[in-house]
Amino acid sequence: MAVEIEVDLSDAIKGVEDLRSQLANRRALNAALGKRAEVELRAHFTDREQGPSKASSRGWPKQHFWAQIAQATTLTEVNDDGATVTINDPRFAQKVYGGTIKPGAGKKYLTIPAIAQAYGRSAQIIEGLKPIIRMIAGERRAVALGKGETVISKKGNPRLKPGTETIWYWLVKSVTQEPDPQALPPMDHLKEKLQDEAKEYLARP
Amino acid sequence: MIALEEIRAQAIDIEPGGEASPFAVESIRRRTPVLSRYLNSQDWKLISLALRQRAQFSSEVENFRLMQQIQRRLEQAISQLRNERGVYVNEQQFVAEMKKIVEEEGLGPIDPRDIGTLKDIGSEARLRLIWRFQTEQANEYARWRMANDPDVLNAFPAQEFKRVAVRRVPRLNWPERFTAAGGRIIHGRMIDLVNSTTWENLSVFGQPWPPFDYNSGMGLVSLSRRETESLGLLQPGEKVTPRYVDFNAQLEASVRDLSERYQNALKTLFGDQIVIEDGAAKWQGNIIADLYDRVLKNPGLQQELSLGTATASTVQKAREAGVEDLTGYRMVIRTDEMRKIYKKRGIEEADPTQAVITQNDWEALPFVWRDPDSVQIRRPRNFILTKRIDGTLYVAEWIRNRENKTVMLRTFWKKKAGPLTR
Repeated sequence: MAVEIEVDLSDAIKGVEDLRSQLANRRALNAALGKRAEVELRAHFTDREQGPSKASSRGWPKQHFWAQIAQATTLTEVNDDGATVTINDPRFAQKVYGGTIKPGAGKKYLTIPAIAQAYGRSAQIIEGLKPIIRMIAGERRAVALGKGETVISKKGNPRLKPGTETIWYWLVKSVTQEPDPQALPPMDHLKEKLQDEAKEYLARP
Repeated sequence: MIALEEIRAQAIDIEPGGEASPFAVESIRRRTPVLSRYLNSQDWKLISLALRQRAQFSSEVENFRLMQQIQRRLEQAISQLRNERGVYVNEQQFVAEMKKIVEEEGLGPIDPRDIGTLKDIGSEARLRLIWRFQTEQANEYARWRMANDPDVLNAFPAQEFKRVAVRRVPRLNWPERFTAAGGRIIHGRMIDLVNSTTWENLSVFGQPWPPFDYNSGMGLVSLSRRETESLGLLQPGEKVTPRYVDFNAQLEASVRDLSERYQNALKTLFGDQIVIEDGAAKWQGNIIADLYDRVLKNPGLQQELSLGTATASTVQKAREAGVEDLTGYRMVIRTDEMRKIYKKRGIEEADPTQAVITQNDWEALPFVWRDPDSVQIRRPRNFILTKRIDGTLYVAEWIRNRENKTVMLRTFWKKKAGPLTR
């Protein structure tokens, strides 16, 4: 799911007849504003790419999430009515709106990285991971995936010897994330920049 | 005096959903999976950007199933479509899925020292590179197309080349490369007009949009008209001409210097999908599927199509199966056979062990011809080629004509189960 940011000045200029007469080519103004919105959004995402992150504070490898969001931010449509900038990455919608993530069809758990080597990597490509089983509320369930010394259980299944395991991923049934309040730049700042762009456009010879 | 403060840029709506950039989708969708047996990375660099942009290619990868899945997943990702499990495709899943195919198909590197390196198509590093490079390409192409919209270009006519993503070991020679490409360094900044040739000169891929080199963290930041004019790159009010029309024209002409060897390799790879005239190559699109579509719409249409000459792999496998030497034989499809296949294998397929042939299946035919899994002789002049692609077994029967050195498609079907022939 993408996120769309629509810039539409038609309501804002209603009743300002002088301006209306100058805006014979409203597409051109909307192009300038749409592009400005793209530039400001990308600058914000690039700043976040270069700033600290939860993962980097743990010493985990950088995944360049915000650089990828900046890259996926594009002015996609311009017309007389407005302009649309699209952030074409489903992970960004999750940042803006938050929400609960559940495993896809056929999967029981989400894998949450527990160590740097697991971060940004699918558990499917890590060789030798074994489930770590615990009793939870009287029920045996897998709580993590890890590596360690393997022993054979009484039932003949390989399992990790307690005390030797390194947990790579936690297994959870769902994750609920709060919206990131800084996912988008402050709206006042964005409006100010758009206003400056509109003024600049109208001041052109 | 106009009441500028009356412009309240307050109408900013933020909504979930919406369409991906059609240019980004086009950039991925127009690609055809291509096997690299005939050309290595260096050879590909000599081939025009127009053709490279239309090939889903990865150096030294000769497995159609893998290339087709790479293409499919990238297309889903850029189009924001969910996969079969109902989730969006992301980099991690892409790497895991492609790695699995590589293992299933036994595509590891020949030299064990290459395992895990970029030379290993199953390595995480290589698969991540494919994902990142291609998604970046698609998004940046879309931005480049919009940057060349006349209204957008007039408002933001220049761009700055700068670091947009952190790299552990950044390249330090970008300023030298930038000036060598024709760019200007203004107040220590690498800046040029959007429509300048600097950008494609700067790119190791010959394209005017990022990435400009492998794993580069450098990108473009658009500059407004006011800033462009204040930097002296444009006079007040001076118009800028969009470049993409010229650039496209240049793309088609840029293969004129191709040697005969490259032209032959291209013809072998693409068959009639490209036309080479006077040393210039032009892409014809997915002509087999297009022709099939025209056949269905126009019952009187008479046409034939060539998909290039037999590859070394086809010749060898045919020889091992006892088929006469196919060296130099050209594969031909005629509209009459297409029509028969539509009737027998399309709408009226009666055999429950066979699946109905659709328009998309025709795109698999060149791969059956160029890279079959097996060859079986049926009669002295007839033989069958088979290829399993993504779980589907495609079977094509051909008749060899010694006089004009052609093999004509007789019929084409896909199997669900059972023996190859009825």
